[in-house]
Amino acid sequence: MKKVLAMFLAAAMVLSLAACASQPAATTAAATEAATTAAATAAATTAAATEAAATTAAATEAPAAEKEPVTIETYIIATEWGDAFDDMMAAFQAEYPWISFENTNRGGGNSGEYLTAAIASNTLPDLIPVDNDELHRTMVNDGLLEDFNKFACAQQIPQSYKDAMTYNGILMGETYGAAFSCMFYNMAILKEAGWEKAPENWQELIACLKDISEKTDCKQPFTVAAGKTTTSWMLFELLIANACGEQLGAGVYEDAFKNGTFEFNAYPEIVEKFNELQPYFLTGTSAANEDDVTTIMTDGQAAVCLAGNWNGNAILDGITEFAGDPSLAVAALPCFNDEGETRWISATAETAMGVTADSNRSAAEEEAIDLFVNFFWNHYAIIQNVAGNVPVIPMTDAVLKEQMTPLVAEMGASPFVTMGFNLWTSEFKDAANRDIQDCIAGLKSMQDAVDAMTELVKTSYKNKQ
Amino acid sequence: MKQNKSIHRSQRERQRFTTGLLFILPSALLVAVFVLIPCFNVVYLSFTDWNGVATSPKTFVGLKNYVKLASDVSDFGTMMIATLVFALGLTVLTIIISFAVALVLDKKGKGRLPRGFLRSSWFFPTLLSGTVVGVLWRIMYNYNNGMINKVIEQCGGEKINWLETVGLTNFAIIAAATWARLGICVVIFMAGLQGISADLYEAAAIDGATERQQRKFITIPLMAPSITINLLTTSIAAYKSYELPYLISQGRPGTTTLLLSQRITFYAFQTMEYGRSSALAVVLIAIITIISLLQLAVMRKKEDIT
Repeated sequence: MKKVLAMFLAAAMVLSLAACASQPAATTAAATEAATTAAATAAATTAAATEAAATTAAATEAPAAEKEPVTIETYIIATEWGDAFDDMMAAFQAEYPWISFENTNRGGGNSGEYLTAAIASNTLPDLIPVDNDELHRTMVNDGLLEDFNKFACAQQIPQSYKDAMTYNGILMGETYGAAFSCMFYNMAILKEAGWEKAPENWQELIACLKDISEKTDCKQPFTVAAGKTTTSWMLFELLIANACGEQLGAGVYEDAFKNGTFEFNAYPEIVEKFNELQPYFLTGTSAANEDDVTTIMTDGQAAVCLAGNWNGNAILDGITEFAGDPSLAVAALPCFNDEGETRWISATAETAMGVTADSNRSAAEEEAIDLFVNFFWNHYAIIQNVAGNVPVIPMTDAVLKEQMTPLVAEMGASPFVTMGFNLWTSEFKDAANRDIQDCIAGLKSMQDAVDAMTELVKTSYKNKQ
Repeated sequence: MKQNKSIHRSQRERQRFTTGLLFILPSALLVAVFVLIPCFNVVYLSFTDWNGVATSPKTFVGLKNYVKLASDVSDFGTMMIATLVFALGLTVLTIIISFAVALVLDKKGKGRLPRGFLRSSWFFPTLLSGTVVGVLWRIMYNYNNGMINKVIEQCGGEKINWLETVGLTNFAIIAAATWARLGICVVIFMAGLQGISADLYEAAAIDGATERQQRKFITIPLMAPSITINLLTTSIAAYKSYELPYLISQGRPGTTTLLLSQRITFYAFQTMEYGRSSALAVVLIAIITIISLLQLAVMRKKEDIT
């Protein structure tokens, strides 16, 4: 009996191991079925897609049967829009059946850690997510990324996005989203404080926060997910943009920064404005992450928050839950500008799809990559701003909330500085953000932080050169 | 005849030795491939300027990475203090609490404690990954919506700003790590306690020793080996801790809770300075080795005395 049991257990173990073995994601019948559905959906998507798709379709006029089968290895982090990605893959394969995919990862996780390990072991897949950050700039320097300009589909990328994703003359990839900062207001609380509409400039914002803290139970009405590098820097960046944007102009600030010549302490408004805002930060803000901020807004613990567009839907839902009426959940572009002055915002091209360098890649594989990225761009970069240069994929829903949609157009028309969280060196980013977080928590003065950053930007960039 | 016997014996010993070698070979190979070679590789990398790209050259730069660490005294000093505070706090708290818990859970036949259930409860956190524990405690420490502050408020107290107060955040990460570490130490202590013969307590009781005296003169001295094991493994685990403290505080406020292990990852994965990262890893290995040897020497002395 024991022997039989042991044999049975051993067989079960072997079977379970076999079940764990990887399987090409797109070869199953389920995928084919999904492909049919998704193809139907894809067919109904924007007319804008047609033109670019037609260009590449010309390259694929040969019947599918004559095509040599091609497999593309991808590493895609698609935690929150994984379903959309699955649909898109299936739709693509329905149209181009000779191209299949091998996904290294489809879950969440830290792409930086995966990529550094893959770089160290020389096992990079064909398609990877790229940002214009230190890791990917190192990849460019070491010749690990293809210049995306060599692919036909690069022609459709707007120049502003090409600029954002170009380093040392190399276009790192085709971007598939945009990030910009937004303000969210709980109008139920604002109305209680006597404000019928959201503030439109810095002076109004401070007056509004003062009224809320004096006239309502919300004594510390302002919050931001400062526990996260991106959003903590976003706050500081808006102060910088509105202090020196007009004087320096877009691009100049970024260049000065990258050259290690930007003088933070040449703009006293940065410190003055931060000091005006500091008393209104909700305690715990410096350690709050994006989920915390959503909860805070849902509970009405703060009335105003600064967050990225990617959090917009969740925060607006939270405010609506608190206020009981969606019209009381308001989104607007950040008003860190002085009264009568131009409003500057911060925005940037988000993650792009990049192609790793591989001297053995065949022409058929290159064509397949081109087709895929083109397909992706035309079907899933779903919202564009008025200038047509900032496509946005909302991270949590298929479409942006009603309150967010007008912001895309406004964002496109506003002068902006490029969000710095990807551009600066990791050393600077880490130290500067710790300083900002300490300032928010009241543990450090902004003047000290600005002085430290002025020094650090020089040494940090010098060290890198 | 004698010579023949000794030849046979030496042949048998050689055979035994060879068989022994063959038995340990698989483990030895695994240790060599997954521990020793990477360790030597780290030491080698610490003398290079490698940026982590497989195709990039690993240029020898001598002691440059170590000099860089030493020249950044304030940063390195803060990290060292944070690491030592964390390691010391975690080790001391864990040993004291787990020993006390083991004593309570080991009592046989006294009281009506559901010991089986309690033993499982204490061990349960050990089964969770550091990431889960880190996220869990970060949520509980949240100033505005965390469970701990909610309970304090319900009891009429003032909310505590766990994650934005210098000093308190150090305690917060130590407390969370202690919670996660207790189970395994309790198990080791309980194994030690069960190894102490009941005769010793009976004899002591007949001689008129009180329960307190029995603890002091029998339990604690005979538990010295278990204390040594727990002390060593807990302090090593503390120096190596990464994900749990990082997920709770990310090294904040400022860099007051930033541990050496977190900086090693930062240099490797963020700034792409594998040489610098490896140099810091070598320093950490050296610290762990020195402290472990010191602990061993002290505890061995105590064990010898008993």
